Order: sequence, then C-alpha cells, then structure tokens
Amino acid sequence: MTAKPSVWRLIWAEVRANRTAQSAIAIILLLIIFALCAPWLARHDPLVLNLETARFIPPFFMEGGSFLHPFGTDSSGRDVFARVLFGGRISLALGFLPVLIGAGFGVPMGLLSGYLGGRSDQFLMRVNDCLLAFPSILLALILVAFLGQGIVNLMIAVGLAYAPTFARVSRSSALGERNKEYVLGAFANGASLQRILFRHLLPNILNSLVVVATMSFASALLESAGLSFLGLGVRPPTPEWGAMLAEGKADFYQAWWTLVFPGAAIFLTVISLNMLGDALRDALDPRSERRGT
Amino acid sequence: MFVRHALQRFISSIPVLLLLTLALFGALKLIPGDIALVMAGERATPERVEYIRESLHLNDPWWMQYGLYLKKLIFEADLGHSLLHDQPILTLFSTAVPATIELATAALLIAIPLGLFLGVVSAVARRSWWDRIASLVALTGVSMPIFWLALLLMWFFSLNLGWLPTSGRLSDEVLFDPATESVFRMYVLDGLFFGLSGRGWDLFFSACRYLVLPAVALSTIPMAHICRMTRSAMLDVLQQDYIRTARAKGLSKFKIVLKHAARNAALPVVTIMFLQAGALFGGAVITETMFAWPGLGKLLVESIGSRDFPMVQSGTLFVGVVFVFFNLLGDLVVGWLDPRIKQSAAQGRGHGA
Repeated sequence: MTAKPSVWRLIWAEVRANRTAQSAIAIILLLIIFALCAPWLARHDPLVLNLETARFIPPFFMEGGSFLHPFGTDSSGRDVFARVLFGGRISLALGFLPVLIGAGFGVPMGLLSGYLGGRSDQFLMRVNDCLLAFPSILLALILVAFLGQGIVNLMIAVGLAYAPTFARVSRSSALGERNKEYVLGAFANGASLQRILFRHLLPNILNSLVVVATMSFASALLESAGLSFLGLGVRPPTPEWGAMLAEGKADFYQAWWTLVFPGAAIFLTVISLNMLGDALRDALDPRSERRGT
Repeated sequence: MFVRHALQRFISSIPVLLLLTLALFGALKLIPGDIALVMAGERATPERVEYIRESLHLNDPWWMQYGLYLKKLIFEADLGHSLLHDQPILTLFSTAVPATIELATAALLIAIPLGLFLGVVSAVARRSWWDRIASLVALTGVSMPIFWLALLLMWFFSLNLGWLPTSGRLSDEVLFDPATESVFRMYVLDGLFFGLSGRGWDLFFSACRYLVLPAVALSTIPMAHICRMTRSAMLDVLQQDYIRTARAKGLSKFKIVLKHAARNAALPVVTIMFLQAGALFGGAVITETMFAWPGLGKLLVESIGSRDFPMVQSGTLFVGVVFVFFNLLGDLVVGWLDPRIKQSAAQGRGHGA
C-alpha cells in the first residue's frame, strides 16, 4: 500500500513540469509584491489631488509624458501608477478574502452534510443546488442590496455567494471518503465529530478544494471589481481597480490611460489565476483528463 | 413517460420558488432599522414614511405580511410598486423584459455557434495551433472583465472608427415612438415589421447598429464556457471505443465527428447552454448598465443603488424564476436527448430518501 502523495507535493511536481503554471505564479507573485510594496514603489500619494498642474498627463511613452507619472494622471491630477499599485491591495484582498469567507462557511457545511448523510443532507443540498443555479455575481448583488454598500459588506456578500460552491465540492468529496477505513477507524477509536471532519476528512479533500479556491479567487476578484464598477462596492476616491474604471469612464475620450491600466491589471490577475487553476486541476483532480493521454 | 418526467420536474421546482419568496421576504425583514424610514430616505416627510409603512403592511404580524405578499403575487400578479420610479413594477417589467430578451437572444446567437465551433475544432485538432488559439480565446473570455471589454469596444468601434453608437437602443433621428408604435417592444423585430409593411427600414438598421456592441460584449462569457465544455466533452467522447470502431470502418473524420461524437457529447454542452441562457435572460447587470440598455439588469442595479426594496425583491424573484425555468428546460431537453437519465432518476428516487 502506498501513501497518498501530499497535495503540496503534487502541486510542486505539476508546477515544475508546466511552464504555463510557472509564468502564472510568477505574475501573481509579482502583482502581490507590487501591491504590498506600493508605498515604496509609488512616488505619489494615490489620493492627493493636483488640479492645477497635473491633470491628464499621458503615460511615459507618449508625448508630454514622463517617468514622474509612468501611467499618467487622471482628471484630478492623481498618479495612475500609484493608484493601480495601491488599488491592487484592495482588489487582491477583495478576491482573496471572499474565498476564505466562502470556504469558511461552505466547507464545514459540506463536510458535515456529506459525512452525516440522510435527510438533512438531502435538504441542505437541495437548497444548495438552488443557490448554485444563480450566477455568483447576482447572489453577491442581492446580498449587497440587503446588507448595504461598503468594502466589508462587499467582501461578505461576494464571500457568501461562494459558500455553495465550496459546500458542494466538499460534500461530494466527503461522500467519497466517509466509508474509507481511516475514517471508520477514527470513528471506532471514539474520535469526536469535529476531529473526524477537520483532522481526517479535510486533509484528504484538499486536492479539490485547492482547485476550487484558485478558480474562485479569480472570479471573486472579477465580481468585486464589477460591483465596485457599478458603484455598489468600493467607492471612489478609494483606489480599487473596478472603482477606478468607474471614475475613468467619464474621461475616456480624453485619457484612455485612466482605463487601460486598471483594467489590464484586473485582466492580468484573473487570467493568471485561471491559468494556474487549469494547471492545478489537471494535476490534482482525478476526474479531469490526465495530461499526456 | 416523457410527460410524466416533465411534470415531476415541474412540480419539484415549486418548493424552490416558494423558498425563494420566503428568503426574499426574510431578507427584507433583516435590514437593520425601520425599513420604512430606510426606504423613504432621510429627508422624507412623516406622511411619506407612513404611506410606505401602510403600503407594505408593516403594522401586521410577519406571517400575515408574507401571506398577503404571496396572495397578491400569485392571484393578482401584483409585484408591488417601485418607489424610485413611482410606477407598478409590472409596468416597468413590461418594457425592461423585452429589452433584456432582445439583447440576450442576440448575444446567444453569437455565443452558441462560435463556442460550439471553437470547441469542436480544438477537440478534433487537439494540440494543434487551432487548439491553442481556441483555448486562448476561451481563457480570455472567462478572464476578461466585461466592463473593461465594453469600454475598449466603445473606445475602438465608436470613438476611433465611428462605426457604431456607444449606448442606448435607438438613434434620435429615427422617427419612432416606442410608447405607442412599438408592437414587440423589441426594436429589431419592430424594425423588421416596419420594413416588411413598407414603412421603411430605418428603424431596423438603427436598432441593429445599437445592438451590436452590447451583444458582442455580453456574448464573451457564455461563448467561452460553451467552448470549454464542448472541447472537454468532445475529447471524452473521441476516446471511446465506438469512435475507434467507426474509424476502423473507414468513415471519414467529418462524418465521425458529426454523427457519432457530437450526439454523445451534446448532453453536458446542452446543460451549460441552458445555464448560460438563464443567466443572460435574467438580465445582464454589467453590460446593460454599461451600454445604457434599459433591461432588467439595469433596472435591478438602479433599484439597489437607490434602495428601492420592492423593486429589488420583485426583480430578484423574477430573475430566480427565469433561472429555475431555464434549469428545468435544460433538464428536460437533456432527458429527451438521453432517455437513460430519466430512468436512473426514477430508480434513484426509490431508495434515495
């Protein structure tokens, strides 16, 4: 009998062999580092206005632009580069934290439901299937409508919208594991329910969860930015990629750079995460097609 | 057999809808503070607050409120009164829903053929350049923020090239009064009707021009999903034994793909098509707002921004009904395509509970 290789070792093996995954990780890490180091990399405060001398300065490669404002300035004379960097902090957090919230609610629910089975399982999954039928942006939108607007509510709304996805995945994985010997053994040893769920089942279903989390990170980021763009999430002047696009929308006849850079940042992050998710799915998910067949 | 299956599925979706009404009703109760005050806004007169309180029956116990809400909903088709527009919500829906249907249909007409084509091509020519390009297109489609794509499309096609208008549904120059002259409330169809009845084709061409950009923007996500699903379903099928048999018989590749593989790969693809259609017909929140397309999605966003809760409630309910309906429709079509599913569902019910 061979031990199941750990999730992280499988991921490492996949990443070592897969160049797409490598570049995706590199881009994501770079973006995170940029966002974290924003105060040292940006020469301007993202919130300081300069209406007299610095309105609509084009980016460095155009006539009239300079490296003082590499991405140019917006209608209020704020530095777009600084805003993109600082915006990355909020935008990335608005992708990542909702995933944690969604997993925090969904995973225990799914594990419990799958492990216990029976009528409560049937009922919970029925409700879950209804929720899954809605696209998550709509769920988040409705939750925002009732919770009210603001960064924290946005995070909670987007996060809760992902709970059904996590619940479904962890339920079906738990269902596959519940009758295996190690679980039965733990039960026979008198392990508590909590211990069985989180010490025994959880580590064994991490495979699927890692894949779902990566994909959800991408779409949660997209949705948070979308809601902010609609004016239902992060409000200007706070730098956030979606909110920046909403602000820049009015100036796009004069200053395309106020739109292209934050939008490109969203696109780059999301496509990297999706590429990574695809690679991880190939490596970790037993149901997906194996590479090389 | 099929009718019975359809009926069963239909009946089983009723509790789902009831649960949805209860959830929406409950959500309205969970809003902190005095709901009537919240809805009226800070500067409202006491009479206005009292009017809202009365019209929502806030003075009654909750179960009576819910019963009344359901009764009005089911027997009188009363969806409530929008506070923002000061109109019955049903009236607002009667113009918004056709607009959404028009846009969603146009987007699906782009997304489905393109998604299927790219998916089939990349599965058949696996690992070729075709496959790589199609996969890249699909990946871009899922990763592209649709609001950004919309802005880029507007910037390029409207501003730089001047080919297409940026927003709205119709040019001012067209002599057409939607309130009285529109038959279908879908301007492309109205235009077709006008043209065929000899009143000129201006309306038709104008309506089409305004439809192109939002439809293209909206089609990217369903196109990408359909493409990915088609590719993986086709790859699954192409590895099966019967495909090898067909190939051994000497059938042409074209015939194998079309006759043997496509039929068997169709099930997951049809399912995802109906899911995507449900999402589009429920109102494209971002696209409609971007292009000032007066559909359901835009209505919903406006009502959330201005805390028009009756509108939010009814809008969400409507969207929910559309989803459940399309899910059901998808299930039925899949069941019709593959009789095995019905049987296993019937057997599963025997020892499932």
